[in-house]
Amino acid sequence: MVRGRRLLLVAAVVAIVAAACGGGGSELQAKADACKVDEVDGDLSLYNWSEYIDPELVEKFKATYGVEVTETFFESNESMLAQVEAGGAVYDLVVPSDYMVDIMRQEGLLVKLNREAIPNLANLDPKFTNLPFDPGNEYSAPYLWGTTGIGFSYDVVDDAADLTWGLIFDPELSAPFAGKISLLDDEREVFAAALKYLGYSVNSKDEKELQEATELLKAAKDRVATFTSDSFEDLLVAGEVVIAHGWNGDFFSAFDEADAWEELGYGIPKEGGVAWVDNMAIPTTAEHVCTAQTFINFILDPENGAQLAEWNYYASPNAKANELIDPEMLSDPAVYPPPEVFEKLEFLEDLGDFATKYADAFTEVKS
Amino acid sequence: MVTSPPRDAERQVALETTYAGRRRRPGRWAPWVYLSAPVTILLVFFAGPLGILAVYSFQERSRTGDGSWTLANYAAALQPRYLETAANTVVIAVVSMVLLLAIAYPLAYLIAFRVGARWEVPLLLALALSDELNPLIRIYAWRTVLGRNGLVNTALEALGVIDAPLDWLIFTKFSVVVVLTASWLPYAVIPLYAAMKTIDPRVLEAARDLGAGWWVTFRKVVFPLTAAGFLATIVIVFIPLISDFAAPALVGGTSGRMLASVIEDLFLGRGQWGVGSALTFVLLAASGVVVWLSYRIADMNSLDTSR
Repeated sequence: MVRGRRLLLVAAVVAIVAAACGGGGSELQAKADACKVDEVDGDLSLYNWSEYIDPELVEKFKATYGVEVTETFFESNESMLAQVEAGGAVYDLVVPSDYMVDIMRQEGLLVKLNREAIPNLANLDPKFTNLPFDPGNEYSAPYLWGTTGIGFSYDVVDDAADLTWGLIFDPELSAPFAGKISLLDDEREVFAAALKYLGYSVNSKDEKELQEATELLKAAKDRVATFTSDSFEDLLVAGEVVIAHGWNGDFFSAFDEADAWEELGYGIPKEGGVAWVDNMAIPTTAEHVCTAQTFINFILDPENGAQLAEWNYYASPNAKANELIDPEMLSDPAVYPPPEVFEKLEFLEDLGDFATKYADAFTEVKS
Repeated sequence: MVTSPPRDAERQVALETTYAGRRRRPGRWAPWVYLSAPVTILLVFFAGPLGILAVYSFQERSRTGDGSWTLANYAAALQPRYLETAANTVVIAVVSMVLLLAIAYPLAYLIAFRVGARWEVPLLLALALSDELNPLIRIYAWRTVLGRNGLVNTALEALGVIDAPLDWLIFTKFSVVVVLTASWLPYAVIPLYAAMKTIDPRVLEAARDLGAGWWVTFRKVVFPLTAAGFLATIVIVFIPLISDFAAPALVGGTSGRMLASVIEDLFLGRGQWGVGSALTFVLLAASGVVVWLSYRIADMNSLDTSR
């Protein structure tokens, strides 16, 4: 049990520290409110999705402001939340998705942004400045946005327009790729796919619909090779799977690296999919709130924003940055979906207590 | 966990008596002084956290939990939804254990008696070094070996043994067993090697002189003399095997899931510390039972008298 136990030890130690600390939220808020533009008050501890920032941008930030940047990574919004809630570790900046911003905001885990310290908030596309998960961007600033759909091999699907979630959930349609399908290891995303296939909302709070989706997923599980959120693109490129549920930019980065644009594609199934926005936010575990806000301002700079988006192949919510982005990328419907596709996309929303039902159902599906 | 057989205790008493007879008896507290550092470390870093987990397992500990006392965590941990995973866990751990012993035992024998002084140390070193590799990197390496387009499949296809890639090589119980067996091999070989090294080679010569073939020598000489090491290996390796979460997570796919992955998920993914702690103790109890059973079956005492 050596390896497993080490993890539990960490969790237990973290719990003790968390119990010992606590409080101090308002003090941190006062500190954040007093920060000035470009002010740094120490090194930055960045808790981000893996491979989600151009290392050159990090270097540039370090060189410009004379601070160190420590990066740690998470694989799902839920695991990030668990880690921040546990306390103990210092994270100055986290990158939660839309619905998770809502959860963290409501649980009092986020520090309000000081707009005076982040003048570049003005560069954002108005479409992204007043989304329901954080009206008025009080607590968060959009980082990048993207879609969840299907990455596929042209051996099995001829055209992205033919994509349907049935390739995963329809027993007959998916039979030829049994064992060559991967699903995200993410409860909300996996259920979103199943719910969309069934014609329901990805934010369904109907027990019957959830039950139906659960049964569908349990039946499909035998054809699924694995649940993964951090290597679906690699599995597709390596030919281990031919249908992969995942995030657009991750696929594109992998296609580019492997020079596999001819063999592999990505698209949104005709039933629709998930659109998401990842956001920069300062958790109450932060120590260096001024550096964190300076970093947000740095990312929202048009040039840096464009570099970030181009490196990741994800769409930028930054209007000024979009003016600088490669026109070819801007016109790519898989990166910047056209209005008729965007209409079929849904954002994941915080479901409150009902979220537990999704988590339980996902446990049931996986075991 | 490991109760030393009574004969050890007797031996200890005998030793102490002779010792006391010859010299001034050391202070009663001396052993405790010597032991204080290791005992403190064990208490603080092992018993302490385990105690915290034990407390948590009886409390409401989740995102909405308030820390009140409850038995609900154990009820949740024993739900049928975990049964299939639990069965999977036991099957994978037991099969890996058997395979591990089947490979490690002959390997330890070869290193101890057959390869000769020149190769003995390099081989042991190679085993030890193989464990230095980061476990995650090692598992990812296995993916490229067992994958659909991996080394094994490409080789078999090139040789014309198969027409299409074997798809049970990865993301199955098979791949978890392979990865676990390979990962824990050094931990099985080294104690077995140590046990074999205590055998006087002249005993083997005597067996041969008396007309024993290799099988009889093994059954009547080598195995009884290494039985204690054999059992120690089971104890050392079975616990990590049954509680591994990295291998099932990375090569287990949808069918090779193990309980430790569920626990990891409960703690890190869902913040369900209470249920996670309860499940930890269920797993701990289960592995305790298996280890205890293997002791009973092998009947430590009777084996020990053959020394």
